[in-house]
Amino acid sequence: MIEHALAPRSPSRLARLAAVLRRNPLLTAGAVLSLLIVLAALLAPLVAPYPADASVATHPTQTLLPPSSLHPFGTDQLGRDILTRVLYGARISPLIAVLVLVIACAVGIPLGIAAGYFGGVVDDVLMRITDVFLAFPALLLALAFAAVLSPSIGNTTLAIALTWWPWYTRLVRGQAASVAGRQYVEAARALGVPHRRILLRHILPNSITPLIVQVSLDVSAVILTASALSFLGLGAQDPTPDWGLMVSQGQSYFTTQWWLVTFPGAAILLTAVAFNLLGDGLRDVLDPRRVPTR
Amino acid sequence: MSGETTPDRSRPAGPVPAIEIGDLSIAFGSREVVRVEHLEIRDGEILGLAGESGSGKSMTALAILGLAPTVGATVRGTIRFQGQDLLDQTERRLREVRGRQIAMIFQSPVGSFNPVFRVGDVLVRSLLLHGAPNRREARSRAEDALRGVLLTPDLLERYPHQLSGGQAQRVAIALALALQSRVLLADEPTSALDVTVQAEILELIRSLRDERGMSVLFISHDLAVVAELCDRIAVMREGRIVEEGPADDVLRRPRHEYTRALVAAVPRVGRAGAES
Repeated sequence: MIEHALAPRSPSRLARLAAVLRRNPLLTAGAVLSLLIVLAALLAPLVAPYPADASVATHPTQTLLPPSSLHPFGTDQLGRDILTRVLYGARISPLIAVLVLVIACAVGIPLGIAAGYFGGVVDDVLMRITDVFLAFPALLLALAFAAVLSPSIGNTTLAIALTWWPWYTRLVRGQAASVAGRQYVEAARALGVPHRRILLRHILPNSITPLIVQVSLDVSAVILTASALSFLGLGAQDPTPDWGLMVSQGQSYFTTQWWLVTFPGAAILLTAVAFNLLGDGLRDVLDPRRVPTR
Repeated sequence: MSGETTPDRSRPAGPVPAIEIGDLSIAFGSREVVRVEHLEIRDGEILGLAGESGSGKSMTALAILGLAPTVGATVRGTIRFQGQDLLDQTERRLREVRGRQIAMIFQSPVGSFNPVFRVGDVLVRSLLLHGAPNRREARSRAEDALRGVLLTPDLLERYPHQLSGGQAQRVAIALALALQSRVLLADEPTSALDVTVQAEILELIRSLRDERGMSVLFISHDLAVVAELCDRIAVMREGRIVEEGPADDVLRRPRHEYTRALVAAVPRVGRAGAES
């Protein structure tokens, strides 16, 4: 018995979204920025001036050139065009972040709502498992996983996701436990609604909002964690135009050649801001109390 | 209904009980919070269950629906409904009884609805859950039910927070109506409403009984409300029924001192004749 959205929905979701976008310039900004990042990722081969620089090419005669019309963002220690690498980087760091967060949510949310709703033994068992994961510093745990799994972007993603979900379980569990005590949950039970459906339709939508905001804030944190792993040689490997890797490699030049760190760093910042705005706006859209229906 | 229960002891020969509770014990761990030897809701009557908060009224109602265990209580005894003991039923069977045969409404009318969904979604889904053949049919039943409680069907398009308390409680009752529940458990349904709206809801509950023969368990701490609405009254204190009988008897000649205290707390009711 799976339910679909009900038939008559006078202002359609699209119309509501349009209304929200109009009334909420920050959400619009977030959407535009995110779109920009997606476009950069998709169109990198077309718009990047030196596509080869994103992979193995090096130019020993053009190292550390400052920004100019030829290289708007300058070149790095191997003479590669930084603009090119930043554009191609949009295919990596944001993707890692999204994958990590999707996995973390896929694991964390079900465990959290189950623990919060059922309470008792279920809660105890699930939360003790969660606590075990939380007991280790996240970066250390990710390091351990990454070391065992052999360095690659896929394994970095997996390693970070493994350390990320327990936070979400915690967050969702607290919310779910409070929602479980609300009267509409009791009313649903008194109507004979099965647990599975109560979890999906009552607990989940009402306990997810703080998580959405948290996830949007975590995008930048994941990118930084991934870059930390790259820095330690356990994440993306050198020719990969990973923003985090570029920042860490550029660190030693920062005082004299600022552009090595600044542009990939700005890209990370931009991504983080974009997703934060998006998350904030999403919260508004998902909460019917904030949207006048007509 | 079932016809196999023994005739009522010394009481005036009434109809067969819709629900009959026997030796009900509800406990949290070793602490027993409800101990009811006998309580029946007769077919087509409004039984008032009065008592202060924490006296076990709501737990008793939850136990009838088999929901006491979900809040961590252990329940023993019998609760007979249509010839079956509800305490013996599987969870699956209980889910069919809940809502469809025994409906419950709550103290906070707006809070009884998930804020995320339109009222219509809630009604239509509940009807589908309990046997409506399709969405269209469910929708039309929901609209009919809304008219039955004197609301306009366009309310189905609203979100719960866009309803007043009185409207929300009517919608909750409409749902019981649409599901054709035989028994309504009303847990302080008017306590959160102002007096005029409260009177409307009481009138609505009365008409459900009069016109559809619904049996009602009306739980309230407010004896004035109970007195106005109920045929019989049971007074509960610390988990026990201390007094039970026809409403007039209980109010005019309370036997238990606790009932006397309750009646005394509502001057207009108990001493209507004596004063003024």
